[in-house]
This record gives sequence, C-alpha cells and structure tokens, in this order.
Amino acid sequence: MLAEKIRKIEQRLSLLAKETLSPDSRKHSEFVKTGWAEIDGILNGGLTPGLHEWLGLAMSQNETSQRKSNWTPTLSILVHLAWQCLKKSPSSWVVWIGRVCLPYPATLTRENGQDQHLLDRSLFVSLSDTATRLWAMDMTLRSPVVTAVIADGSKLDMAATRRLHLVAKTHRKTIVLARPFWELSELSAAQTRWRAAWKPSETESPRWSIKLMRCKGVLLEQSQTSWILELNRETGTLHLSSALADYAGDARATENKAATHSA
Amino acid sequence: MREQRKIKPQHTQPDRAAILLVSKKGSVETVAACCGRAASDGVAIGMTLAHARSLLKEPDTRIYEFTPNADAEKLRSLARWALRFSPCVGPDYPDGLLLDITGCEQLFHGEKNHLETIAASFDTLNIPARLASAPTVGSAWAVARYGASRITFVSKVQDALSPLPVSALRLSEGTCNALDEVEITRIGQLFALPKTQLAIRFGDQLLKRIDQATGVRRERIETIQIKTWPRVSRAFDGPVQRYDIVENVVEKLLSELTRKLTPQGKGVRCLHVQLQRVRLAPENLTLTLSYPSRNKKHLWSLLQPRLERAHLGFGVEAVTLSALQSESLSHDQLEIWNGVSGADGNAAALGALLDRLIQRLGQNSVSKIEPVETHVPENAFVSAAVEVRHGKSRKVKSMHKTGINTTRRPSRLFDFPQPIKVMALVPDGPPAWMKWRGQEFRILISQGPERIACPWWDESRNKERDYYEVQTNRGQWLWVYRDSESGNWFVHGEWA
Repeated sequence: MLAEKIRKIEQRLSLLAKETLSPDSRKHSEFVKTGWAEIDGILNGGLTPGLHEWLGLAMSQNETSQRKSNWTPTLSILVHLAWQCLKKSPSSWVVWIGRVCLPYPATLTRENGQDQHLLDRSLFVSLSDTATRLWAMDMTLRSPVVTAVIADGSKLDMAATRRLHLVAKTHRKTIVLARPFWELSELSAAQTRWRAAWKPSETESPRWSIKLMRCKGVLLEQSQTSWILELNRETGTLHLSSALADYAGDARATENKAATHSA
Repeated sequence: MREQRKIKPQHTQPDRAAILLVSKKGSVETVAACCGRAASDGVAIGMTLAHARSLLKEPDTRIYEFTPNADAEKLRSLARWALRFSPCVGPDYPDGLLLDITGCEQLFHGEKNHLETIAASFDTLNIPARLASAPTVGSAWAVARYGASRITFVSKVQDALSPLPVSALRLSEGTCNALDEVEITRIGQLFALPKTQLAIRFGDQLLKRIDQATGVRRERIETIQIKTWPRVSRAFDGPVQRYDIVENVVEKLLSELTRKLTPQGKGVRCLHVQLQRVRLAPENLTLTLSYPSRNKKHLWSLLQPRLERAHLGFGVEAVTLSALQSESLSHDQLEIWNGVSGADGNAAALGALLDRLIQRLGQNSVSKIEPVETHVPENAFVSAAVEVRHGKSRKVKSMHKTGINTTRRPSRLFDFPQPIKVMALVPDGPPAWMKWRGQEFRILISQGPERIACPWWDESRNKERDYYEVQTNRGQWLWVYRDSESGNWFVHGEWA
C-alpha cells in the first residue's frame, strides 16, 4: 500500500519535472551550460537561473576533522562556471563577492593569457561581514549589467539563501555560492547543491571529485551524481575526466585512507 | 580702455610689528618679502633673516613662512571677489590685481566714486590697497606702485610716467642696472631718447615696456575664469529643523536640477548640496558618481543616506544643489528601453551599480584587477578603481604582453607564503614529505623547479625562489617554493 503510494508520488514528480524542466518546455536561453555534457544532461540543459551552492573542498568526502576556521572554496570550478556564464552573455559582468572566493587573477585567463575576457569583465568586491555580503549580492543581482555573481556564502541562513534565490530567479541571473563543507547540514534554498573534494591522480593535472547533492526537480536516485573533473593546464579549462578511471589513484587513496585509519 | 591697478606692497603699519616672509633653503633663511616698516629700516629682499633682525629697530617682529603657491591661490580668490567691481579682473602675480573698468564707472556714479568704493571695500578686508586708474595697464601699474597718493587718476600717460623711476616700467634688474650705469634713472629721460637707439643698447624688452605703458602696444589682462555650473536653491521663511521638510525640498530641487540638465544633454558627475545653517558653518555634502546620471531616482537613492546623517544644527535657512561636474549623456530615448539598451545604457547601469556599492562599502572595496609586468606572483596583479566610460569600460593591459606565465599558476595564492617543513630525497631537490598546518603529507608527484627571481633593485625581498607543483597523498596540489638564500620552504598557493 505504502509502496504504491510512493510510486505514484514518484511518477507525479518525474512527470512534473519533465513538464517544467524539459528543454522543450523551457527557453534554452535561460540555461547556463556547465560545459560538461553529462552533467548538463542530468540537469536537463544546464544551470537554471537561481542559486547554486558549491561546498568547499575537503580532503575526502567523509572528512570532518578539518578546522572550521579554515576552508578552501572550489575556486577552479567557480572560475569555470564564471566563464560559462560569460559565454552566455559576453557583454555582461561577473561580480566576485567576498575575500575568500577571489581567485588568483591569472586563472581568470585562458590560452596562456591571450583570452582574458573574464578578467576584463570581472568586478571584485572585498567583504567579510555577512550582512554586507548579503546586501552586496542582492544589489548586484538586480543590476541589468551583471550576468553572474560568485560569492562567499558562508554563514548564510535559510532565509538569506531563499532571498537570494528569489532575486536571482526574478532577474534571470545565476548566483553561485561557495560555502564551507561543514555547512552541508545547513538548510538552504539553493537550486543545486554540490560538494567537491580533491582527487589523487597520476596525471600532471589537478583533479576533483564532485557530487551533486541536490537538484530541485530532478530525481537523483536514478541518475549518476558523482563525476571527476580535471584541469587542463594549457588551456585553463576544466573537463570531465575520461571514462577510463584512474584506478591507480583510487587505489592509492584507499590505501592512504586505510593507513590513516590504522594510525 | 582704462585700467586700474591695485597693489598691497610696502605699506607702513605704525601700530604694528614688522612682518617678514621667510623662505628656507637648506639651513639658510632668507627674506622673501617684507612690510613697509621693515623696508624703511633697511631690510631688503634676499637678505638673511639674522641680518634683517639686526636691522630692525623694533624687536617685535612677525615672521612667517613664504608660500608662493598659497599666496597665488589667495590672489585668485581675491580676484574672484573683485569681480563685483568689474567683469574683467585678472591677478597680477605676486601682489596685484588688474581690473578693466571701462564703462563700469556709470554704475558707481563716476570714476572717482568707483575707485573710492573699491578702496573702501579693500579696507573692510583689512587690505591697504593702492589704486591707479589709467588708460594703459603699464601706466596704471607704474603709478599705483610708485605714485605719490593712494588713489591716482592718470589722464596723460607721459606726464604721469616721466617723474617715475625706470623700474616702474616692469624692467628686469639687469636692464635697470644698465640704465643706471648711463645715469638714466627716470622714465622721462627714456622718452627723450630715440627708440632705435634704446632697442640696440638695452634690448627689445625696454622698448616693449615703453610701448605698453604709452599704449602703442596693446596689453591684455588675463581674466580670471569663473566656473559656472547648473545650480538650484531654495530659501526657507525661517530656520527649519525638521528632516522631512529638508528632505522634501532637496528631492524637489534634485528634480529641478535634472530638468535643468536635460536640455543640455548632460548628466551629473559630481553633485554638491549645501545646507545653510543658522549660526553654524554650512553643511556640505558632495556626491561623486562613477558615470554621469540625471536619473533622479538613482541620485536620490545615493543622496538620501548622506542627507540623513547631516547635522541640521539650529535649523536650515536655505538649500543649494549644484552640479559641480557634469558630462554629456546619451538621449532620453534609451530610458524607454529600461536604460540598458546599447553601450551607453550598459555603462549607465554599471555606473549606477558601482555608485551604490561604493556609497556603502567605500572606494577601496570595489575594484578591478590589472596585470603588472613582473614575474613575482604576489606583485603580478594590482587592484584598480573601475572607470566607466561611454560605451565600455577601460580595457586592462593585455596579459600575454606582460610575459606572465598563466598556465602554471594556482587558483588560490595565499596572502603570505606559509612556512613548511620538508624532507627531500636529494639536496635542493623537490620535497618528498612535508608538514604544513600541523599535518603531515607525502608528496606523490612534483613538477619543477620554476625559478622566479625578484627584481635586483628590491633589496627587501629574497632574490630567487624555486617553485614546485606538488601533489600530496590526499590529492591536494600545492605550489611550494624553496627560498634560495635561506633554504627555507614555503607554501604559496594551491589549486583549489
């Protein structure tokens, strides 16, 4: 009886998701493509206007022993998403809010510094106070010249994220918040929620494993939610790691984990 | 044309102490200017201060620093004040004013009354001025400085100039000395000599000055330029202490000001609000915008918070709004399309955003990043103020022209390099183990070194660093370097 009820609810939800989120029913111009085909497929086209959260880097997905004062935002991923937003509307601006999520400016360029469109079109707002940060995000989202806001979202509560999501949705903007990984348990009104961790590799390029924790309107149980991203140092772009998994890296990580536990 | 000359030099002050203006060169203090009393005691310009003190009969002497730039600014300010007597006033540095009073005497009931009014006005400012009215600038200058009386009217130039010394012709000291050698001390003696001879013997300057004084050669007055800007004001019937009333009036004046600017096709770049307060100095509020605007709503959103913090004192008597700086703006039709169509609309919208951010967060909180030609990572980029221009913002310097290697740079650079402990398999080689922030890491992969040398002229920095990109056993990529001088290791960044 209960299983039947749950199945009906799931069917209704999937139908609703298809109706509201299928590429046919929505304008393609609203999406910000992540540039990663598999992920865009799961998201039914890309990131929708609204709030998206990236929980900061931890050594591994399960690590909780990090000091809470020290966290690292997923800067390379944020830079990649900023490029994607700018690709959608090249004459607009990307605003970076909060000291902690200001990347090293050299990474805002591509092709060994020859393509510096993102650097040209970036505004930096250095703030640490939560209330002022929230005000600045709200203000910039309302500006017609801004296409995306990348901000430090630490210490924002549910009400603040809902406010930001609504403003972003109303003005058809994308806001990406970088949050510390220990705020995973915090309530949030974000459209999507991601978690990233460093991924050991044998290649010369940094890798990150990312996990889609939540996506409104998409049933994640039936889809792949974990991917590996790799940085192409020469072009400065992030791409999904090839289907051939780096088993050596995985084995080493497992071995290290085991060694840490035994210690 | 009749010119009038006013000077304020060597005037005796019987009831006051002698005044000396002193300039300092190294450890030597010399007299740059002195009052009439000091001059009468034998003090001369260029004399050392100790010498001047010894010559002064009264021991009570006032000594001030000689500030020529500040004096020139004061003189320009005085020239602006003197515009009430003539529309054409020019400063005659360092201590005079030139006024073209042609035709103005009718407004003051005759030339005599006009000059007396000017003298009386200067007296109220406690400036003992000497005045001369003459057909030429040169003659007015000479008579005002070397004439017998305080106010002099010159009708016949040659008669007025003849008894005066040759220095009254504004000649250089060398020319005066040369004339003195041949015993020519009075201007009248020069008039008696043939001009061709004078030019050959004493140069063209003498001839030019004589011609200017006699009116043969025209001389122009460099008139002070008065800046006029759009302004609107409103006076209250009595002092107003209520904020809501003042706010209401300022808002209405803002509408008037923007309406005034519309036909000119201009927008406000710098707005000044002055609240005239009873028994207190005026409260001045200045608003500088990133991009010209005549959007009342935007201007009011910036002005209102400032106005709320203004101190009204015992009440405000009048409010004045001035557009101290205004610039051309695109036409109003753009506003129909939400103000963002086209490049100008984008610039205006960006300017509005910047204004709001800067207003609340301060100028330094909002910036752009510009590359600098250096290989030192922490100095390779600087924050720069955002400049909004018509059409588009200023392009930053091209990165690939600066020679900065961007492919091997981390996404996060720490504010300060963080010291680490390392172990290397070979001396001066890449680390195999490190301890950072109290945690131990094994190094799985390392790439490098990339040697970055600091500029040789910067002695405060270490000279060379060998950078390595290392991957720890936890998958984290770090940018570490070994300081070549001390041999210490640091983490400078990470690929986050």
